[in-house]
Amino acid sequence: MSSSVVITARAVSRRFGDAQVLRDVDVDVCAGQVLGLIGPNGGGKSTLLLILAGLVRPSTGEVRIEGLLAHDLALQAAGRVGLVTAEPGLYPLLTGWENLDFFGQLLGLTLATVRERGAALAERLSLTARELDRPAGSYSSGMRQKLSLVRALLSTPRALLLDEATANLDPTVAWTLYDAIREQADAGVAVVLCTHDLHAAESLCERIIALRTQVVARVEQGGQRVVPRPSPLLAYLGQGRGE
Amino acid sequence: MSRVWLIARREWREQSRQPVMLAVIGGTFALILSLCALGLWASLRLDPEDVGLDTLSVAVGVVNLANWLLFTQLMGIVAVLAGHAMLHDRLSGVLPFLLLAPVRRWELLAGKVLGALGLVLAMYFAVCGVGFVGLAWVADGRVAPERLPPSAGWAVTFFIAGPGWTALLAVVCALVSSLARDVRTAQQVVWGVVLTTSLGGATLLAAAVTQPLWVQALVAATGWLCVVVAIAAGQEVISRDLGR
Repeated sequence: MSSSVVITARAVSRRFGDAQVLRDVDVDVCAGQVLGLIGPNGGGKSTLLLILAGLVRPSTGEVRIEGLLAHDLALQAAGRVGLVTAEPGLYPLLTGWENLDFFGQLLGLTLATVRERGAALAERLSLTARELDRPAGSYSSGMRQKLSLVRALLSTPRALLLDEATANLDPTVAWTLYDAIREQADAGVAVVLCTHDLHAAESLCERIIALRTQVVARVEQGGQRVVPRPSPLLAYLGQGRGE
Repeated sequence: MSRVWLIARREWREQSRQPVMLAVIGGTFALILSLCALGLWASLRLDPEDVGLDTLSVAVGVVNLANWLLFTQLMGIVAVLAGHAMLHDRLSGVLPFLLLAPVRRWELLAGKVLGALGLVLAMYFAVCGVGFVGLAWVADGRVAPERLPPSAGWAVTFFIAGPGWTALLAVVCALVSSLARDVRTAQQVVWGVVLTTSLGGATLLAAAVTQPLWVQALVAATGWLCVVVAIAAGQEVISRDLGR
């Protein structure tokens, strides 16, 4: 497994009107590493994730993915970043396969490649061929998120960004996704996991960054997979409330 | 395959799974032309002295009305579809995945407009084309032949100018939907734009049918040129920054 830095964020700040959402955030995520982002609602986790994806521009600072500026990345090197959000972002009248075909072809993949990779990924996530032939609008929340993860991995991204990807999912489905995410990290993908699930963060992440209002604090930083127990995390987040 | 084509094709696939919507659109075209054909037929069979009207003028008015009504409907339907398509992608959380794909802003606009135009135009050409041939048959060369098939003027307006100005209105409504802060605002603004511009656009097109061919060609070319300009300007309006 390579330990090269895939995601680099330097002095990233973001302001929406008068509200300072992020201030001077520095993040490095290496290949094969899972970084956890935790924090209270409104703490800036999703904003940071979208900035890392290049979909929101930082007010100051910069983000690079393998050396390329994140907000130029999609246009220069499509498919290097995979994204899964709490809202799966699928077309409900299209079947699972049609959704994958559409997004895969947008990424420049051939239909044959989409089908081949999609089938393997879907099987890994226990999505059956029959389910993929049904309209996505008929899927359960868990199936939608699985399909969203399959879509994110179609292009074999170098960085995988997950924003509350397991919100509202039952624990079985959530851990199916977490296992798949861990496998991706083990295969060398840099993963950023934004979650309220402290247990999952503790189990999956080598490093965890707690975003409190406007500020960032490193609960743990190090190459080894050593993370605090949930109770210190909870206590830490508790301190952050009201600041 | 171009992303514009991929986006448009996906829109058509979704629309094809909404048969009631397509039936309503086709039915609207058919209803307008059927009523106009009936009105034309009746006006040509009335004795002017009996009814005290210049029935030939009434017949010409019916043909004008058919052109005007169809253009307003075509423009309105396509514009609403384009606006809704853009709004849907924003609200359903698809937009980040399109931008990450990466779909460029002009590709998104052009794809949505093409997607809104495709099936509706196909129905417009099929249903209204047949309908206008029917009107011409009823008119039997006695009423406004320059406004009915097979006149060149009718063909230019029906096949080129109408779709062009419709596409322009669709670009405007897609842009409005991409900028509006919420669904209600988007719907209200789109509706306002559709109402005012489709009435104006349809009046322009209905008037253009009777003009010399070069004027009609100019109206058609202006419409399509404005589409290109609107898409180019629109990509500067739509931001790739989801935080804006």
